[in-house]
Amino acid sequence: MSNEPVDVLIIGAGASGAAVAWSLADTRMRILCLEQGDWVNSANYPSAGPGYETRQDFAIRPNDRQLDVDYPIDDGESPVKVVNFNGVGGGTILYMAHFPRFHPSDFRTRTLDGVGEDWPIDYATLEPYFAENDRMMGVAGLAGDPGCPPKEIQLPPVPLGKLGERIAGGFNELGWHWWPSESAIATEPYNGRDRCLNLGPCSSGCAQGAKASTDITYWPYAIRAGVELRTRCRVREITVDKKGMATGVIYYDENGIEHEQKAAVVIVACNGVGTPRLLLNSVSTAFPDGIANGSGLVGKNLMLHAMAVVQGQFDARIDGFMGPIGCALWSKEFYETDPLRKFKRGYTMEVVRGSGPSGTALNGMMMGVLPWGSEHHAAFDQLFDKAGSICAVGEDLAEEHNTVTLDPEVVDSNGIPAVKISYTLGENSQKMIEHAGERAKEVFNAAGAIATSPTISSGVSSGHSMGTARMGTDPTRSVVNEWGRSHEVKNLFVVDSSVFVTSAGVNPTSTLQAVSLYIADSMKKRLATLFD
Amino acid sequence: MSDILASDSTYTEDERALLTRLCDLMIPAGEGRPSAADPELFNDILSRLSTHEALLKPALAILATLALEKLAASEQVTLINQHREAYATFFQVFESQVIQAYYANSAVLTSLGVNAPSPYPGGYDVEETDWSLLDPVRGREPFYRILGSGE
Repeated sequence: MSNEPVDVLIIGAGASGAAVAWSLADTRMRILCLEQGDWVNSANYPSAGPGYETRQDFAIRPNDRQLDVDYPIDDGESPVKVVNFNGVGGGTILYMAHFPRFHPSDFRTRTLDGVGEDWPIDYATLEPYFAENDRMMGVAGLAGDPGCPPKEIQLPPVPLGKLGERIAGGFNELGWHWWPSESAIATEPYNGRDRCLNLGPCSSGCAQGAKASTDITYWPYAIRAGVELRTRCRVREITVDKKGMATGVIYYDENGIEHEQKAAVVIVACNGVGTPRLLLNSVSTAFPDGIANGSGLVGKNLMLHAMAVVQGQFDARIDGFMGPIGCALWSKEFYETDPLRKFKRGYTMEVVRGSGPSGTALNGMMMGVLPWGSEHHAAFDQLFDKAGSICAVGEDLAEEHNTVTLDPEVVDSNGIPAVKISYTLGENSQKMIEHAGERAKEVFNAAGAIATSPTISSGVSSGHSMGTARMGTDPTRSVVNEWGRSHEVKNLFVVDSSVFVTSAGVNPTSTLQAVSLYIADSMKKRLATLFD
Repeated sequence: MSDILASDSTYTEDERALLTRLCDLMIPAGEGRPSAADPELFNDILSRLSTHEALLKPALAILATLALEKLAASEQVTLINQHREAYATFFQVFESQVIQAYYANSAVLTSLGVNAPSPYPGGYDVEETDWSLLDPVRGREPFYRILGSGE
């Protein structure tokens, strides 16, 4: 392979890397993207074969997959476990495609509620990029949601199914808001993607190709426009010259051979865990604490979301395992700050569909409700296809002690230091979780559920890693400026959810892609003065 | 079904007999579904367990001393339940593999009304939603926080 210098080097081919590559392609610059994982063949996704619920090679947690393209993440002491996927498409390969946007208030939490920090940009700035991203990804939903700003919707909503209808009835009974989820799922053929077949397990890859993962949305367009995407290339560090400008990267190819790749501009798009890992691993005389870390904030302010999960059990089969697992309906009833509550900010309630047979049995055995012996079948029949969950995704306030740091002992398959997560749920998050859990139980009760589980908030998984290289105008309080450029290294950019200042109470993919498109556009508008 | 052949297993005859008994105790035949000790199912389970021999064999040796065969089925289950905590890893692995084999078996799936071993390519038909369900919400004024100037 050629390691001739390029104009733009993007590290990471996931949600944000794909979007920024596509957007910059129209500059006609020479653009190269290095991705540590592979292309994924959708024929290999678990849902295309038997045992689809228990295959570990597409497990959401890298520590369960243990593939050589993954890097170890020590999250043993964190109540929230880290989820990612290393390959073309990144986290969008395994995400549920639940596609809400951040709300306008999420960008102004300090001004409005006295918590967190305000972003240096606002919803109005991002609105055109949200819309552009929606068109690229293809979003199913229903216009007119009174809980969110108006927007254009490309595709009809994902059907609720019997489970969703039962729970929607519960919300109606309580007089609470609900609306069909906005979902990055092709409910009708869209831009070469066939329609959703309601397979269920979106979170282990979509064999049908209806889910908008960036390997089948942005990347084909970016590559056709001239972007080079090189897989199985794991970047060890960003290199710098004597003036403190980035000169490129050192990376390992599939065979472990070390390469140096020169570039005029380096863009990091490795998510809220991988990005600080790379920045902290990029140590030099000029940057002894890691590149772009003059503020000391690289890896700090990690936000993973406060999650509260409650499972409800019904007395009849509800087709719970049919349909996109994470996309049915949402409720914004408790999204915005209410001074009568004991916490600031709020959460979205999202319906999660049930498991198939194996998942039901494994969960039942783990929870101690599926016995051995003659009662096994009756107990299984009480569980199977009769359960669903409500997952509350709550705003997690940034706290500097929640961190991603380099692991002093563990390395990946190329010998690059791995990461350690130090994370606790703050008091505000804990109160929010308690509130959300109780509200979820009320919904299930109003929907006629015969039983509800306790609120689960520990041991839950999150691919929502944010805040570890936050944006801002003050170089002492942020890592990158208001358009994603490092305060210290004028040709180094970060475009993923690391730059988030707040976490909001929604899944982050729509917003992080809008941010990456906005940063790309900001770069294009400043090409002549990009390094000033 | 696992790619590993049951014949690759190095479980002894006695160990296989005990595993067969445990499978039948865990999921006996009933409700029109086979026992997990059904030969086809057991072969699959044994294949899956063959990669865990080092972990399972010591516990099997101890469980063999319980002489389960001398007890009624319900008493055997009671006795097993008394040992689950002491041999948590064994039961975790054993139960997980039995479940993965059993609930991927086509006869079992058919009896559950699931007519394919995997969702793809057939998929599922989910009824179109009657969106009149949304009528109580549609009448609501926008309630997301609309920011004023300067906010």
